[in-house]
Amino acid sequence: MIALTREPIDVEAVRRAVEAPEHGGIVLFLGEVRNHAWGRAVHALEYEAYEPMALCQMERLAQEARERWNAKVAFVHRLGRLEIGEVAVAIAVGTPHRAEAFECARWLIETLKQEVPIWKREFTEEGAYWVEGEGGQADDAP
Amino acid sequence: MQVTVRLFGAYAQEMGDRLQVEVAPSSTPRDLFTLLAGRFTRLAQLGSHCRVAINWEFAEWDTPLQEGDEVAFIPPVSGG
Repeated sequence: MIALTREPIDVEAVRRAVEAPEHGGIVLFLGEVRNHAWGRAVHALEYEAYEPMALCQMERLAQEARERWNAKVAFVHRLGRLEIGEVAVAIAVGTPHRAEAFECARWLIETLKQEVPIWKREFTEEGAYWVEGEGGQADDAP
Repeated sequence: MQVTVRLFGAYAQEMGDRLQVEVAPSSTPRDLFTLLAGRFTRLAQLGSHCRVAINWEFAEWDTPLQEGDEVAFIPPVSGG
């Protein structure tokens, strides 16, 4: 399961997608919308993707994960407007042993944050702005 | 020849998210960026922070473009 969705993520379906009799461990990572960023109160987020490329990149990361860790991978990112506490990204990894599952899930979320063309726009008391990388920002066009 | 340019986030707010642009044969993404940065100040500010993709794959700035290519200027990503 590799997907972008504008609906709330069905976390249980993401976990079920990596179940297999040979798996002894499943790691489920959920990225949630936090109510603050860089000292500012955040009310909501909006995610935008370059959708076809984002899906290609997610498929590629999942494929690399399968090869490196012998893992089963499910990978879903939400788009559109999200409120505080909603799940923005869900990554499930199943492997025969737990160490690989932790390592693989960590690699997937960190690599997603570098290589998958998805952007967030933060709505704060001071206005809305697009986030660029870790901590950069571009104010909304006037 | 004509190529499609894709833009995102604040840059799409300034310029629209999809442009058709006429460029000289064998132009590169660098040439295209220079052309557009002359017209759009916000894109000019993005400058070297940006990566380029051609037809949904990250690419080098000096790759010769082909007629009909989709060229995306990718600001630093912030998903997750």
